[in-house]
Amino acid sequence: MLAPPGVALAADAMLEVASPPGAAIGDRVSIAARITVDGSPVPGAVLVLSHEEQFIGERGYVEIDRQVTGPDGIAVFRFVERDPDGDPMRVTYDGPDPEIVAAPVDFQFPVEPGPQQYRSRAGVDIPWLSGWVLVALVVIVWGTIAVAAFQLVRIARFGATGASAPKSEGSSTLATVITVVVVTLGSVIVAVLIRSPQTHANLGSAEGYTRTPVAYVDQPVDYLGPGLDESVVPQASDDVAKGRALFFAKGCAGCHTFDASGGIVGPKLRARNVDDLLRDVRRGPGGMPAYEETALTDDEVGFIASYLRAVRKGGSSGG
Amino acid sequence: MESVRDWRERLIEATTRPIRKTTLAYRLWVGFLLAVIAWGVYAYSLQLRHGLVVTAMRDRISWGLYISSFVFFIGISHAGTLISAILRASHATWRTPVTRMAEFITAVALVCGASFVIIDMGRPDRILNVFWYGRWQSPIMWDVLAVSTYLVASIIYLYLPMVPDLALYRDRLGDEVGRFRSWFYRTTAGDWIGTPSQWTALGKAIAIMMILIIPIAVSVHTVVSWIFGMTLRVGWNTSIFGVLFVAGAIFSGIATLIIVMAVLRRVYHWEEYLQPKHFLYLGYLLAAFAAIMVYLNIAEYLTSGFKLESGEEFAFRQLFLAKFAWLYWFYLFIGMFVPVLLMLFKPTRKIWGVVIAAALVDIAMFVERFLIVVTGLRVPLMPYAPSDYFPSWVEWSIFFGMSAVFSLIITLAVKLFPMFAVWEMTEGYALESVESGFTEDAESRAAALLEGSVG
Repeated sequence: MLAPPGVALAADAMLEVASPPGAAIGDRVSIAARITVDGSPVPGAVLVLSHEEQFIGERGYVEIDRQVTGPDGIAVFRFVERDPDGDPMRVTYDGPDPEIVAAPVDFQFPVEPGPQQYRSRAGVDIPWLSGWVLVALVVIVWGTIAVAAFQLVRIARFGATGASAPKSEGSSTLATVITVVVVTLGSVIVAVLIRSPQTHANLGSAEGYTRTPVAYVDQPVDYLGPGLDESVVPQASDDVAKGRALFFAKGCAGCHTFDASGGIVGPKLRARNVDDLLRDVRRGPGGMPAYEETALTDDEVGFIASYLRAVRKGGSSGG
Repeated sequence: MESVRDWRERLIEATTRPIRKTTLAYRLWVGFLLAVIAWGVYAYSLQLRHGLVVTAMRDRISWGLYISSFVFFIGISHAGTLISAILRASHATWRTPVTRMAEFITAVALVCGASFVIIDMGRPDRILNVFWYGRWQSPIMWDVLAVSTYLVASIIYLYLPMVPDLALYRDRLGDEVGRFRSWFYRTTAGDWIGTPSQWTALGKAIAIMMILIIPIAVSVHTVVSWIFGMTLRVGWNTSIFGVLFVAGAIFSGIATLIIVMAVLRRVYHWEEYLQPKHFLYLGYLLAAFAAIMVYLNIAEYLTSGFKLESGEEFAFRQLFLAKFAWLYWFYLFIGMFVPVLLMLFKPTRKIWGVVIAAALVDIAMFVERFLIVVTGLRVPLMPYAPSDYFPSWVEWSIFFGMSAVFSLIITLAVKLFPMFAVWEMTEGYALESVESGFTEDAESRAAALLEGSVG
């Protein structure tokens, strides 16, 4: 079972992956990944599991899960196998320490066909009908507009060489500007079109995007309360900063707005002592969800109370 | 019959009339428009500060007045295409006095229409993401593509036939109109002196754009309809939308052109050039398109209503019997049948009749856009109570503000640009006088034609 398919070394960090030798459709698959620096495990590291996927003619890695390593430097990814092709997979290191550089580990395992209730490929593929047809059409249209605009340059040129007529100082500047604008705009649009499959949020770099986690019908999902995806609460900062991060991460800001000044759904929050706040958080007054200890610990509620006090004193800009 | 030269001189006098004289009423009108715009800007600043919560749009009905206005303004921008390009391509000579105004409406309405998309955004600062992350697989991208292409093409198509007239202004008005306008005419007229090779190049450019702009215009409103038609929603899930939107666009475009013509005719006493026949011909076009719209409505609602697939019944009831019934029947009877009747009977077949028909059509077409957007979103996708939508005062303010921007640009353009295609109209008059057997000195006629712009 433990067959490290790839070991990557970069700087002094090492990323190892253990994957099953094979799986069948519908199996629950576990993939373990360990990160070490100089042989000692790295806890709290974010590891990302992605999966090579084809998307409208483009191949790229689609992120399917990310996990944080435990004290042993190991993170475990669990998912239900749905990909009949057994496409290549990859594990990458994604922070938080920028000093650590670990090359991604690529691996692959065969997938046996099995019963599943949906097909993973949708749509009808008409071979010649692709984005290139649109690109060609746009090039023709904008090229034609450019030809018409260029006539303005010619007109100006004929005028400049014309004989006895009253000379104007306008010359061909405007005509040239128009033609250049047309050619530039047309090129930009064509560039956007050609580049467009690669700008899909699930391909390439995930910078600037926060993805919604995917859940499958038969897969239990822990309720973490409404909150930001993949929130990371800073460990070593002061109570107010922690409270502020929690206020966003646990979804308080969603109803009470960024600086707790109240929105359509949640009212404005006053500075409270911890006990008052704790009572309301656990009880969930006025349609607010009741947060259990598993979703929000007593300590965390204390940090949020600190944040609220700071905001009401004007000690924080809020959002 | 008057000689071509004299006729042309009178035409130049009439065309430059707005530029030479500014009345108090004009200043008051501009002031009024600026006040409305300022109010709209204030409303928009509130929206920027507090977000889209200041509108009446919510999760279930998430498009409203802004998107309706977007569709409406893009629609009236089709005036220029139909009147100018289609009539030019089919050599309809009566078109010449109205083409310039139609082309102006196109360019200005496009700018206003496209702005509504940005106004509808909660985070307008993210507009460039359309270019960074936009993909051609998304109908929103098709809109960006089609509208920007149409905007550039229609500005060029507006500018091209204006070059000889701008040169005329440059030579005739000279410095008497102030330094800015004098510089403006020198720059925009380029080196136009009316040589035969310049006429050839201009003719070529106009011919290219005239043909090209027709499919672009059709594609624009088809694609606008597809932001609805590509969605799996009762009421939007129909292939008729492309045709319905293009027909409706030309329909409301003609109506808007008629209104602008009527206003300018009265204000600047252009009765000689904007004759009853121009209003009547446009009125006939209007009536023909009203008939097409009625036909499309029947075709759409009979085929889906006969079968009443799941969800359709709710859509039908709210449109024909319940909540929106009064708007729908207003649209169909007042907006479609009344204009046809006004054109059908002789006593109303007058300029005032055409203008009333046009006003009804514009209102009805705005109602139609509103109905399409709101009724489509109101059909519940799950068993929840249907929500309601009525635009908030912020939305109304921004809508009227943008309508004032539209009017203001047209108002100011009259002060700067030749609103008649002098050379095309002169050409038309010369041909007419030849056909009517008028035997003026042939040389002077030819000279007037060839001379083009040089006064």
